Amino acid sequence: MRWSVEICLICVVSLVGILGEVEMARADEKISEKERDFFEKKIRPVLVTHCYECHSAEAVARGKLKGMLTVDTREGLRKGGDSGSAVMPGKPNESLLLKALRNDPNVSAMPPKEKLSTAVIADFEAWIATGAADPRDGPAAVVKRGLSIEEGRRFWSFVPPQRVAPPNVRRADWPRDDIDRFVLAKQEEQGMEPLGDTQPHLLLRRLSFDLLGLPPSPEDVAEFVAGWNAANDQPDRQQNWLAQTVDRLLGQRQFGERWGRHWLDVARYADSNGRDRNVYFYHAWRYRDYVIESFHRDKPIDQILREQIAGDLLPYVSPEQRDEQRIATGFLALGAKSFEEIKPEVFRMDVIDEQIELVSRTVLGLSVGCARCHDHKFDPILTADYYALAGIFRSTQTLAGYGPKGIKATAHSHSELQPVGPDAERLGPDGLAYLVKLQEMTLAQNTARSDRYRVVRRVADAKLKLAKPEADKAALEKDIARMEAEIKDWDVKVKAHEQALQTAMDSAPPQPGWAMGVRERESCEDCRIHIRGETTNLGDAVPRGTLQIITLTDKKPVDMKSSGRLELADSLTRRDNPLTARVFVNRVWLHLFGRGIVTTLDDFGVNGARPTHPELLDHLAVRFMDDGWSIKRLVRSIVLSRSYRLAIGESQKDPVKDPDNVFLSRMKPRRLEVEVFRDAIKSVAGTLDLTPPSSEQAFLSKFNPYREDEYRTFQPLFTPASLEQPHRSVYLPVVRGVLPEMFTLFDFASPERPVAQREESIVPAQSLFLMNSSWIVEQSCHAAQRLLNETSLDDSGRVTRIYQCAFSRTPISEELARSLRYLAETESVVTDSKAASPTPEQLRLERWTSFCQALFASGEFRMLK
Amino acid sequence: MDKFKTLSRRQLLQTVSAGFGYVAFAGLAAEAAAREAGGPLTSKAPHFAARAKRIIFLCMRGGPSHVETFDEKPQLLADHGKPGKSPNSKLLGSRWKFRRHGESGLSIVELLPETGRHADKLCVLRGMHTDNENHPQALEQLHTGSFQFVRPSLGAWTLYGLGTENQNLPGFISINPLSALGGLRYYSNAFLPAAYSATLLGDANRPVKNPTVGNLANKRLTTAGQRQQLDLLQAMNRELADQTSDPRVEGLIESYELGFRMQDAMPKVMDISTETKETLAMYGAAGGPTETFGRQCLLARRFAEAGVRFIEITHTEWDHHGFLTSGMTNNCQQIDRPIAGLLTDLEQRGMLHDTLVIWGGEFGRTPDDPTTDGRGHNNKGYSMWLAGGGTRGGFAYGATDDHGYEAIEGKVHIHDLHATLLHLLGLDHEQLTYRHGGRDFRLTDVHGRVVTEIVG
Repeated sequence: MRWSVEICLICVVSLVGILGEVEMARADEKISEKERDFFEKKIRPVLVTHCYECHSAEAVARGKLKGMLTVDTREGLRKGGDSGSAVMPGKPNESLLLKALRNDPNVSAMPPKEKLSTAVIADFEAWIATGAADPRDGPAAVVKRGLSIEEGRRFWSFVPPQRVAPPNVRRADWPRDDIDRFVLAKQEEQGMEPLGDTQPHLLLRRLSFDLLGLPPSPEDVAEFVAGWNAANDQPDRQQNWLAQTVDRLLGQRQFGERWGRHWLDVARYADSNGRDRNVYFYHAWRYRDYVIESFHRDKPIDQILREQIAGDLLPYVSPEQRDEQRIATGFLALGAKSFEEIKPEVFRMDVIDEQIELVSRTVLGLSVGCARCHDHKFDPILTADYYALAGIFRSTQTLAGYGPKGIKATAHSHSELQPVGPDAERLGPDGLAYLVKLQEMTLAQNTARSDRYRVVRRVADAKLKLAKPEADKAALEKDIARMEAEIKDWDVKVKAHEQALQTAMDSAPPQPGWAMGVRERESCEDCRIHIRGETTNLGDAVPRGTLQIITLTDKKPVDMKSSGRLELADSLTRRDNPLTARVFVNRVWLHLFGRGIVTTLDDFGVNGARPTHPELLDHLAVRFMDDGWSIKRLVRSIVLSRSYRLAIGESQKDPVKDPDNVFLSRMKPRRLEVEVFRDAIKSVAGTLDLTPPSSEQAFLSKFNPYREDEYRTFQPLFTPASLEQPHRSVYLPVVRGVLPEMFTLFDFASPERPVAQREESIVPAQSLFLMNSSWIVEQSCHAAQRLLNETSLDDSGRVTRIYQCAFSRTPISEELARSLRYLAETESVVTDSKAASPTPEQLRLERWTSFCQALFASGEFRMLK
Repeated sequence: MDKFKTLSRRQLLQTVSAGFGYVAFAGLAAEAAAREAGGPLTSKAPHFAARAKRIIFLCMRGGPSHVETFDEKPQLLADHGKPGKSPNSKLLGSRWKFRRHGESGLSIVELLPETGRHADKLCVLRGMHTDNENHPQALEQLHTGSFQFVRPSLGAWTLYGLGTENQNLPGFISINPLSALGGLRYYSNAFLPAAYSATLLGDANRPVKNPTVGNLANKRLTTAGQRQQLDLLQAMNRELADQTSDPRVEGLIESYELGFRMQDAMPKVMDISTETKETLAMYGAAGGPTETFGRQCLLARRFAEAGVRFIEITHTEWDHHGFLTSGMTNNCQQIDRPIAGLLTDLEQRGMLHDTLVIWGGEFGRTPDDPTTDGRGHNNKGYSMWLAGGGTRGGFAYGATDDHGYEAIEGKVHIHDLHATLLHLLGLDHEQLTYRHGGRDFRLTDVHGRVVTEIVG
């Protein structure tokens, strides 16, 4: 059956070939009689018999095409498929077709099931060597791919943002900012109108949580409301008052902590590797602090991006600036790596893959990862683009040294870090040599320990055998005695290793500070296409560069001496880059409205959502760049808009036409993220320390990297509960797989990969945590004690006070009465029969504790109105 | 029951929280609430008639040797000591004899005599194969079908397809879960709704004898005291619900009620002190090397009986690069009686026909090794078995080559296994899709063949 189809194919194709001859005069290639003869006799039949089934127009039509390669036209063969050109006339040894026929180990052997005879292969070699004359004109079958680069350039997100004049609106007195004109115009188109403004106390609460991640103090609320009311419906005065307040909030360090954390979500920040060897990243905190500090200082976002990708290559004027820029590159080094991977080349390409995906997702809002194996199915991203980027990262050394952990040496365990601090240059080299020595010594110690353990196991086995009746007792006992002596020898050796390590640590040379990051490799190189992503199946090398779709004009070839990271960073932050600013302002919009203008936060490609307000998105992007990529100016203009201050949909007057609030005619309640939730509870309870931890207080510094006996399990030694500390949540260690309990329960951004928008789950495990955990009880008890210590207040005053602290408002009379009724009853506590029964004071504290706990657990505390 | 239909969920909760008889009403209220709310865990009809209603997955972490458990290799024994395919290796025959069991004459290693007594219930898959030979990746593929991306676990897909039968308990419980080596991803909901992720009981890395669910008990307040507190809290939440008309507030109110019910229901299900001595002995749960796994198997049966949809138990450690002899002896001893006890118990309670029990690890082991008492990883051919839940008992499907290197007949890839498991649950693996990030995802991605041959 198959045979007869092929015969038919030969006939059809031969016919086409003959017809083709008629057209030859017009073809690009002149072909001699002799050449055609050779092709028709020696080449075409082989192609038809062995290749067309998977590589022809017919195969395309039947969905059988493999590797995006067609060989039934000259164009198809020359253009090639996923792996690049199949035939390079005159260069047989560089032609993939010949390599495949020869079963070269670097490419997929073809035909897949049988190697062709040496005679046939010699024919192909001769044919290619003499110019691969091919009479088969006509276009190759159109293989359906994603958007071409040309089509892509017309797709909305690849067209650079345009300056758009704000539209006219009917309610001309409503807008406070151009943003409002864009928003209102859409509503008017829909026949909708905005809900009223929210109450001033709720507006300040919203601002305080959004900008700082903390509740406002009752005094702040009182002051703001008084100022607002004093402006007494005079829009300009109110606007001024609001602007003053916003500027005060923007100036606080907590802004950097709040907005830095948003960036850490997409940067998949973590203090440990996760995955198969969850070693600590002892020095990751420097990157975290860099991010917080940069957002606090309003460093331009384009500069932050450049520093994170190529900080080590940027000029500096002071050692501090040099350090800061070096630390920024920690961004590229923080990924989760498969240290168990035993093939170094696979490991290397996996690290590169993670970096490519990181940069493309976080900066461009595109996923490039699938191009590792094939051209993107939807977006104008080619495999060649992927490997152009891969060359850049392949020419980059990732400094993800986790310090000597004493784990067994593999191709990838290393102590690579970069020195920072005033003495970085002076102490760096010796410091690194010392780290390497410690790692070697730790490894030797641990190897001795496992060798000793092996004998211990053998003794145990022998003893088991000894218990059996058929055992050769004498021989076994002799063995055991010998092995026990051996263990004693090992004891001495292990002890010696331990002491040597101790001595080395006691006599440590002065150390510089260490940071993760990247640097240039000594030799930079382009990356060859890995066919189907396989490290053993290499195609053509692709010159280093960025995605073609964002490379607009004056594409500068990468200087072969450098990796190309600097050029990449520049191309990502150029004004005419269509994506970077849009993606960033869209995320800011999400954090302030609970919904992106493009709802697929990290997919701005063909499969992603289209913007609900495309002109607004462009307006924000252009304005953001005009304002020097200032995050603070961007946030300021949004929160001063009328749209931001709308009430939540609590009024039933306006029937809800738009359940998802696409048109922003009101504000939807937003749930506090876990860090904000935790910080808010601690803030009300009076247990929050707003000062950042010093580097000595950095949680992981309590663990000695050279001592921990984790090499056996590769797992952290502490429990989630032991991670608690009085500082803000952004400073809690993010140990992959061992997050603080509350983080796991309340949808913290998974640090395994970039997260642009967090999940929002409601599960009983959260309720159980808020009902029963010792943590919540402890915080509630602190809050209760704090209230009871306010001796100038009576119970009504105390209830009012906690409502002000927790909800930024006073209780209405029913709430006050209900609260007092609750507090008047005796707490029904579990009592230990042996313990003394609780005193009335204790029971009163218990009752206030459970009252405060109920407030913390309530929806009002967690949902931002 | 009828009178509850006329009550709204809200009224019901109010009645319940008014304080009289809430315990008696809790179950009914929960069911009614779930039905009315159509929450993510509501029991759902399968695509077609199901053979199995629930799954108990006994996960043998490390990769048990198939040639020393369920895949007898006489030729390997005959060629013992000859050079193997792996570098510098020699072929190693099984140290233990195989015995034929039951009417089916299924051959099982002598280390598992009690499991052997259930041979006629077992459906052994001898042609298993998977894509990766590293533990973390292979375990991840075993659980999620993928080792490159974070994907929902089989248990999460099962809940997505079928919901769960007891609204007072989680629907997916993983006992002694692996937290090391990226383990938590094996039980995650990934992009599916969070309600489908596993509730974890204990931790294989920090084993304790009686693991429990976090924060299940209030150490401070009596039940009545806590109900009072909850009434205050829920009153506040209801006011918020009225003000915001936000469905998430309704969800919050429900989740507090479920949490409150779980406090009561979970400890009851987990309290095995009510079991008879005979039952404990049957599982080997009273003491000795079988105690831990025995208790876990008993717990699994209790969860299954209470309506939990998917229960997994992890047993470690089967990664026998060395000390194969002692390792296999000890491990088999630890699991043999508990497994036999579980199968007996399920059968006695009339639950085996619709409870699917799965046994297996992330891969098998090589027939050869450079050492004389160890084996390497083998993902190309290994064995798993299924029992109950509509599978064909006393049956071996597929085969590896003479030495056990590779599956050659009746090959079942992990995707095929997943497709088959869903099929037994009444779910079409091609129809069970979830839209995420612009495309439909399946447990089996674009793969998977239902192995109809093993359906009884």
